[in-house]
Amino acid sequence: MNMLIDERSHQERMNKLLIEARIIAPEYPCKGESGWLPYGDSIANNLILMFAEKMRDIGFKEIALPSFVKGEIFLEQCNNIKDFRKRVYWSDPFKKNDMQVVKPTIEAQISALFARWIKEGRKGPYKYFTYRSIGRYETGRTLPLWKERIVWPFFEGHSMHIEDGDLESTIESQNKVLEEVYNLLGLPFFVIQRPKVNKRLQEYSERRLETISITPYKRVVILSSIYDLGEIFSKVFSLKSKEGKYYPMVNFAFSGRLIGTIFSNFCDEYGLKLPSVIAPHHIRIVTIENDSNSQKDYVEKIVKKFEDSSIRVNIDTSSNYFKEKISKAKTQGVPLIMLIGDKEVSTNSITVLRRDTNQLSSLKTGEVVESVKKYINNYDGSLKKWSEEMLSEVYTVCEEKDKLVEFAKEDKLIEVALCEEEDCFVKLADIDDTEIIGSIVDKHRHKGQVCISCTKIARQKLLLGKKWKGEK
Amino acid sequence: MKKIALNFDYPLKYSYFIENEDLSELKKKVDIIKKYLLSQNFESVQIPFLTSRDTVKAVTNDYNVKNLIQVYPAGNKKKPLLFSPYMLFLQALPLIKAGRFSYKDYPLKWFFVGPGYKGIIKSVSDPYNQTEEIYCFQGAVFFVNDRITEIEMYLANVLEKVCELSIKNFTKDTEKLFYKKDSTVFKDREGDFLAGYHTIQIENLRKTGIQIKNRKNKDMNLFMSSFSISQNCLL
Repeated sequence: MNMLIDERSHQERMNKLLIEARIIAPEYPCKGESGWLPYGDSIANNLILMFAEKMRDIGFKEIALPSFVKGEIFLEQCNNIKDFRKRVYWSDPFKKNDMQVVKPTIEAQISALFARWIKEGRKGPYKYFTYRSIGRYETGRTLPLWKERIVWPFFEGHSMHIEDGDLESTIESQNKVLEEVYNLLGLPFFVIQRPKVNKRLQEYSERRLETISITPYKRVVILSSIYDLGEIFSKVFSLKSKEGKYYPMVNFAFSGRLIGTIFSNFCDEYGLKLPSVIAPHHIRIVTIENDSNSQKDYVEKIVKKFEDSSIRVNIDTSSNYFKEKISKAKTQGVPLIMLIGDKEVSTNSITVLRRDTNQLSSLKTGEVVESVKKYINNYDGSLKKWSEEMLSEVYTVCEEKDKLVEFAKEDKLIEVALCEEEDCFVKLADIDDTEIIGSIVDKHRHKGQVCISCTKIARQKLLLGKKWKGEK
Repeated sequence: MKKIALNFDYPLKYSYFIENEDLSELKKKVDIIKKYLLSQNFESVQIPFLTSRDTVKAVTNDYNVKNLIQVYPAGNKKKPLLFSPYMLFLQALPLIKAGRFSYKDYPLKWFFVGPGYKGIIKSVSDPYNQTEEIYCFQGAVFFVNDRITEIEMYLANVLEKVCELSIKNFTKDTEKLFYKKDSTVFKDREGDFLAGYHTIQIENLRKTGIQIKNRKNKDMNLFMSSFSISQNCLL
């Protein structure tokens, strides 16, 4: 089965889906801004709450910060990021020539607080997270969910590390959080470290760890990032001990683009297929006749059975025709659609339409809760399988130098073993139609292998591929 | 209920942050109000915090756009946008326009929890009260038939219930807040704003270009009863 699709067709499908599934209203009158309709808002909230809970589990506390950053403080942050001052929204809210910046990121806000807390002798841990909309004045093409000027959701964790070893263990825990969430979502991913080939990438971090995935049109996208900021901002904001030791910091982030990737990965010609952890409704119940009291009573009985379970049940009570209701539920990616007509009422059964296979089957009402729970597990498993199969159509391990060009032309995501020689790295970077994505973060992956370029012992595994065109 | 503290150690005049137990307590209260609104079949939406001057101008007629906080993309003062106007819910109008809702979808009952500035409420002159509210509720009932009295009575009941959930003693009054139109406001014993609502005129909404056709393809009138619930209800 060919699960891949060209970018243009995919984008057309997504644009249509976002509107028809009532996820967002992209035609907001300001460029790069979208409003999230109730169904889309619920999906985003389910994802955010899942991350928030896991961040709390690893010792992060939530903080709510204001919308504006003092201009002078922001400019200090800008000293390390070229042109950042031109990529934000400025304001003088009280018209007193006191320029402020609309929150573009957490760094300047929280670093200023950390500086105060250090002076006050406040004890750590200095580990905070927040989620909100942020403003980034993107000058290029904007695209709903993927590249916007008002970014929702924007989830950030920011930590400062006083004890030796705390930074590494925090990064490790954050990577575990990501692994857990992406596994729950059924999203295949790689954790990579960016090579330091691009000067701009080095401006604000010592080390950039990113989780990446692939789109159905064979482009690499960044799902989330963990930036080891080292002492870069600690020096800017004087975050140091009495002895003058600067405390390193780490920033963790994901944005609405993660939701965009989930939608891209889990959809077909009928609509979305939402992973159950973020689906606003696990079940949508649709009656064949809108005015039938016996069908309505029967639905009530079914809903009651789910009262004490964690299954999210929704009834489509609209006056739409039966077929329209089914079509809407399919477009919105509801995992299971229950169809209730006179036949079901008289036989004490439920006809169910599985969104993963688009197949109909019948359930007995007596065992409906257990059956649905089993189904949801299978459903998530089948989404994961679907996504992995899609990845396997794009991903390849290349051990022969001669095949690299061919794979690059096919837009493959290519894994190669490499030594640590700069020459070998440069040779790979020079291949047309592909670029170096990063070094796979896995200490053992290259063991026993040789460099694809010089055949010396390999020291790392690199990924090469084509990035989504808005990706830096 | 526990009193929630705002921490004014944030390095910006009149600005604050909320953390630790204070934030947990505040969020518990947010959840209580959110659950109540959901039980009333309100739906949660997410609306960008910047909107265009044209959107505001179209609806507010002679309302002075300059009184809202202006935001300049990349510092370019020629093209300002406006920051989250509190208690107007104007940003939702483009969603209504773009959302392809049919007459059957109304009434739409939406709310949003997020930041808002009440500096634009002219009757509030105390600088402390001009600070941003990091968590306030803004929402509206959009409806297509002339049911202003019914919807406003309903909203009055909803907001009274919200105030009851938070603060025992409050007063209800009418004030001319926005473009000199009557708004119903709820205040606490100290006179601080708790919640309020008002209905926007039909002719103004028409200027936004929102068109709703009935079954016979005839234009229907749209009304918006906009409300806000202040962070004061959560503290």
